[in-house]
Amino acid sequence: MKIQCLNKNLKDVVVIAERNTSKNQTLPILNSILLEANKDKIKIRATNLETAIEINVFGKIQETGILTIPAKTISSFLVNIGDDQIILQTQKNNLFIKTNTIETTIRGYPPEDFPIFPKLESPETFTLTSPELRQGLSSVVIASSVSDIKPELASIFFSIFKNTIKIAATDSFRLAEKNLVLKKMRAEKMLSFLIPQRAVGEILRLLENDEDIEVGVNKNQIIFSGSNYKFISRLTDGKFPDYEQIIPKKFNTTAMAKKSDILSHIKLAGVFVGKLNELSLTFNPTKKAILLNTSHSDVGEHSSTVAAAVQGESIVAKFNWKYLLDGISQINNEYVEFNINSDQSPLLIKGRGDASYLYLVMPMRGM
Amino acid sequence: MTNEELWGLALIEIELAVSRANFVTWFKDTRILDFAEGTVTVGVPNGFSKEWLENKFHKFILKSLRTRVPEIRAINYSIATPSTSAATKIKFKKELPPPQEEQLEFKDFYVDPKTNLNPKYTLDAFIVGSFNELAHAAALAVIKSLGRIYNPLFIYGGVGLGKTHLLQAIGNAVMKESPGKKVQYITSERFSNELVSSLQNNYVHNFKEKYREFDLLIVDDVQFFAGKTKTQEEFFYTFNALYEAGKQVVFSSDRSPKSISDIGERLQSRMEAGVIIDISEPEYESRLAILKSKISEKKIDLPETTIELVASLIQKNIRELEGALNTINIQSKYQNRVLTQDEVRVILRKNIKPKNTITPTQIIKTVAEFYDIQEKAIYEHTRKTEVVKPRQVAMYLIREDLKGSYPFIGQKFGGMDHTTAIHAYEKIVQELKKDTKLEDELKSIRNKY
Repeated sequence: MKIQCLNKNLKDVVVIAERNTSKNQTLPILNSILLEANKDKIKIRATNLETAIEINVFGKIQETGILTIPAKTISSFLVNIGDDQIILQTQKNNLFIKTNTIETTIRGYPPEDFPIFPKLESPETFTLTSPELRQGLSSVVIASSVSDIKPELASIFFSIFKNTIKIAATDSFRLAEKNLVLKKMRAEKMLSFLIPQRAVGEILRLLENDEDIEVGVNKNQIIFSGSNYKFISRLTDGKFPDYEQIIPKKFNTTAMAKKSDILSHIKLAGVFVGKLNELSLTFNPTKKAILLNTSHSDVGEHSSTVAAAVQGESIVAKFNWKYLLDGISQINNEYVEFNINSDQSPLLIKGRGDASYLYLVMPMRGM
Repeated sequence: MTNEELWGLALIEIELAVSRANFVTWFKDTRILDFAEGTVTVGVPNGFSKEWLENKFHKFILKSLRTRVPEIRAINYSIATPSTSAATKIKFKKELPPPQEEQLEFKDFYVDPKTNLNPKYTLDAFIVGSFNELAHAAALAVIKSLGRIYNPLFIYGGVGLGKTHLLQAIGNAVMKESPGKKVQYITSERFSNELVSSLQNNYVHNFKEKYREFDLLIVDDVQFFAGKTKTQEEFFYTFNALYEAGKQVVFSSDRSPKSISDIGERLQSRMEAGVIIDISEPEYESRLAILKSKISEKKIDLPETTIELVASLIQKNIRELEGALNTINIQSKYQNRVLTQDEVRVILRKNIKPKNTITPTQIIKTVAEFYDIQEKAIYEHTRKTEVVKPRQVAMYLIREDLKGSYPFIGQKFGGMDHTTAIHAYEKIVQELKKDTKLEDELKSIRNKY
């Protein structure tokens, strides 16, 4: 193999690939990336046996060939060289790199030992644009659990029917749900699956260009194909909770406030939250305002008032301020609507007149 | 040779031939899923292992299997979740701190949409003491022989004493033992709502069909059937259909069937047809055991003396017991120290309704309200039966609960003679011995003050 390319192009791809290698030390080949040049494309592959990625690199192919090298070595090398153009060449199992100023050899492994890319048998496929997918995933991923104890909660739930995709996540303290309606899509069968949160984080990083993404999914695996990459992840085996039943339909109190107002006031109050992150919200219909109160035994006390159209009973409830911030930040609207029934029941947050996104958060126990 | 043994032997051979790292990476969590007609199906944990075994080790696996069982002709590879989750557990980098106790979780999150059962209610988590051992035993008997004995089972008792827990545990145990059984847990309120919406949307027929299919129907809080004639009627038919088909029905209520007012006699007598068991208030030792189990479940660290104090102060309600425990735990976490006995007392005083602050006038008012008569009628010297009984009950309660003297009671009731009060008290005491309905009435009245 002999290829010539810009360092920048190669470096970006190698860094992405490195994130998908395994940190596991048992099999060193899993810490490495595969570089393959065939007739018209240069591809880099990496896998940690949970996810796998294949990305194209732009460059000139002089000789075809294949090679496996440790990801860490090549990425730290590329990050630190100053030259623009580089030439990569195989020497048996090793990689020989040449620029104007540098000549380097990196030890590699036999490429036959590199894991084979899994093929998806009889996948269901659909296509959506990368902005749609990015918006859908990023607005719910905040609510997924970071702990692996319940794998179904550390995953993002997809439910696809006809032209609607429902994406949801919850860590059992809060829940986010996004509805995407795609004009182009017509899924015949009802389809639902769970993508591990870590894989979703990786997809979000990949979705840069505005392009169509083709998704293929079967019982165990999912593949996202863009014009320059393929990303495969296993699916979480489990049952997502029947979450729709916990979303209240009726509310005692509703409040509408300007998103920028409430967001800045929550951040301000965040300076004074106690150890438990608790922020007390008062929905006060007579004052037509949402009152925020926080106190920290060492830092001080703070209270503020946000003008809001409040209807219904006055309710005081405590919340983890970070949870509130997470949810409100995702609202894509000038005004945010708050709906609540009591200080022990969930608070529903959504944009005014926007049924496509909702964020539900449980209060904290009163003290 | 079983599939496990066969695969075990093959693995031993493979292990010798490949490097340790390769073996661990590719053969971990593999097993034989199926072996029929010369074809072995090997379950692998992910797509990568599948490709790898298919492409790199296939011949080798086939050879080592065939040395044991020559008739094997082919091997399929199929992705299957590992049967043991132990393998995945090793991957945790660090144990995350348990979510803070103060943050509330979504309720009923793990309720099974098919059965409405919440899997957290199990018999193992149900603490048995003298106050509920009869109910527990009956529940066990019902689980063991569904629909044959104790049908229907009627459990009643006050708020927060574990009725719902026991009912759901029955459902969960049945589901566990025979997963094919159709189990349904429903509150009487939801039953009534479903009926109403099915009437509105014209699918009553489906509603009827649905409820007649269950092998075990659990109806919680049947006292809320009171006053809903149409619901009662529909439920009556459902019950009959199930009962005649030998299906089990379990009820709970906050009072006995007799004392649920506004419930049709037909339905009432059906409810009484099986066995009626009450759950009373837990005694000190049970309360202590319950607290301790809650503490170990929630990993709370509280001194023994505090636990004992909570158990001795809160007597009537297990839910309150748990609430008090949470409050104390939050407070001590918040202040980052162990609370003193006095502080605990202060916290609990806020939470518990003060006892014995009731006045005779309040008792009379409650009684009048309960029997739906004018309050002032009680004070009148009248012998109308609808007034005489409430008056006697009020006198009895003032004597029993407030230790009022007979002359005081007489005076309180518009200057009646103290012998009238003595007569009233003794009359009620006598009545109580033979009339269980009266007993329930008194319980309900007492719950109101």
